[in-house]
Amino acid sequence: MKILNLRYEFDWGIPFREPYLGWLITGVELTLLIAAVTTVASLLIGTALAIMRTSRFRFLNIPGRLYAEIVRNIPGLFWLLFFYFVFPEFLPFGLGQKLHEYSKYSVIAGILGLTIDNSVYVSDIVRTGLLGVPRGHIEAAVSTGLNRFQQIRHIILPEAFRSILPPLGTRMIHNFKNSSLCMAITAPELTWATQQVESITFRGLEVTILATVFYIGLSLVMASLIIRLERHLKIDITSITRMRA
Amino acid sequence: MKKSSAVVLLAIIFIMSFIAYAAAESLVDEVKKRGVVRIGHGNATPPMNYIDEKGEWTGFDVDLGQAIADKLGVKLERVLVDNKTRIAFLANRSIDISLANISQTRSREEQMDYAEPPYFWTGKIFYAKKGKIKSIKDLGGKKIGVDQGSNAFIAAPQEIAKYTDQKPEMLSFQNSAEGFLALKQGKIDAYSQDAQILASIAAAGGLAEEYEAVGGAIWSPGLYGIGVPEDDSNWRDKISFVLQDMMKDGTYEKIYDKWFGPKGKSPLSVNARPRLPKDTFGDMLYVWPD
Repeated sequence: MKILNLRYEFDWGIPFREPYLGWLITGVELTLLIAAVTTVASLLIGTALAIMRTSRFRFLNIPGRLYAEIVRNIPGLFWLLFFYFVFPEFLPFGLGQKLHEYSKYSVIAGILGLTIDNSVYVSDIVRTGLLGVPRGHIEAAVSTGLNRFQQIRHIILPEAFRSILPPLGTRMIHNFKNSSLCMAITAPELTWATQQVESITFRGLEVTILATVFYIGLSLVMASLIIRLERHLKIDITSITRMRA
Repeated sequence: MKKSSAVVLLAIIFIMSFIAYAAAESLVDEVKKRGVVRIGHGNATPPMNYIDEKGEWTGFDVDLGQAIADKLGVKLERVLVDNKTRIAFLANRSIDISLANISQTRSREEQMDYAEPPYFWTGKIFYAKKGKIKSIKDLGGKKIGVDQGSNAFIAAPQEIAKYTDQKPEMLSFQNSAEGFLALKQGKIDAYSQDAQILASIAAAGGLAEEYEAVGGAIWSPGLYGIGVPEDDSNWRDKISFVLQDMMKDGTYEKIYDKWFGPKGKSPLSVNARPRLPKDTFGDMLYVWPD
């Protein structure tokens, strides 16, 4: 019985022919750049946001919660389009026009949009981590004379991050895949490149398969790095019980 | 029992389903049996195919598609395509006809066939702010926008290379409205698209006076073809004859007038009808004799 009736004849030469190869290489580079910058930026902003949202002070937690509610309820793609087409219009002193005319602005707009979007999800994850730090540990920190900043820096954040590493990693992999949204604002990342090859050659299956393998491969690499980090940071439970004894 | 050590097994399963096609039967019979013809239209390219302010799917292509279905005597099913899928959908037989401002090109010819004659004669211009760019030579080193899926992405730099060594920078947008917005905002210096599409978008924004075609001329002909699947010559003939019949009996002219006539929705100063050369044939239509 014939299960697959392929009408498509694969031509694996296409992805390796110019200019297609050039587009794909630029696409991979840009995808990696966007993923790396947005991962770091959204981690920093998301952590700051989580500290704000869990703060006792209203002037910190109200803006933090407001930001989270607004961003979380708007699709990520909206933020990319917003930063690319709309945001420069609000800037004073001809700065917006400069951004419009700057040819790499699409990449910047993409990074801004993805960071804004991802930072809220990161802050949610970090927040659960912060709230999960046992009260007793914080009291212990206070009693040893650490000030609030020192408590956060040395006790709360390290403990929180240990516990949230798995969901945080998943979120960052998700963010990496979201980089493909940048194709909507002319940024020539990998998905843009595959669509471009398809639209010119009408043979998109080869490049799409290659891109799929790349996305899966890099996601798996990220996942395994996170697992390693998790093991590295794990506190050996037996040493603690021995100490207690 | 042995001590446990973590073993991670990663299995990747690709499931690709390919639709199996029945033995070659011409679409002429298949469409008749089905009682429905599936025609692919875009929805973001005024005045050819777009969603109007009332939310209705309209345009020259859309009206022509309805007329073709009427002539075939079957029901019409409109299928949404875009610049990237309008040819692929024909190739995988998701649609029977692709009527979505497709300029005939040689590379497209390898994937599809066109009904005869090309139903609308236009061409690509470089559209820019008035007085900003004098000639195609001045486009060297500039930023030029196109729709993703347009053959201009490769053809425009080749054209510009005839006049200057400076390469333009190409950006591709998801649709013509976004491309025109980018032109307005100065993200690109020129936008390359078919003349009547740009005129229509600019007119909708009340901006037709502020923009012009660089050098005042078309740089690449765009003869729109009605797309039909490759290797189904009976179906291709059928659609060609339907189109030619509509040109003969005035149906085509009525639709053309509705859109591009002096009182039309998007009046055109040039004649975009498929006509034989006037100096040799006078006003003869581009149709085949019986």
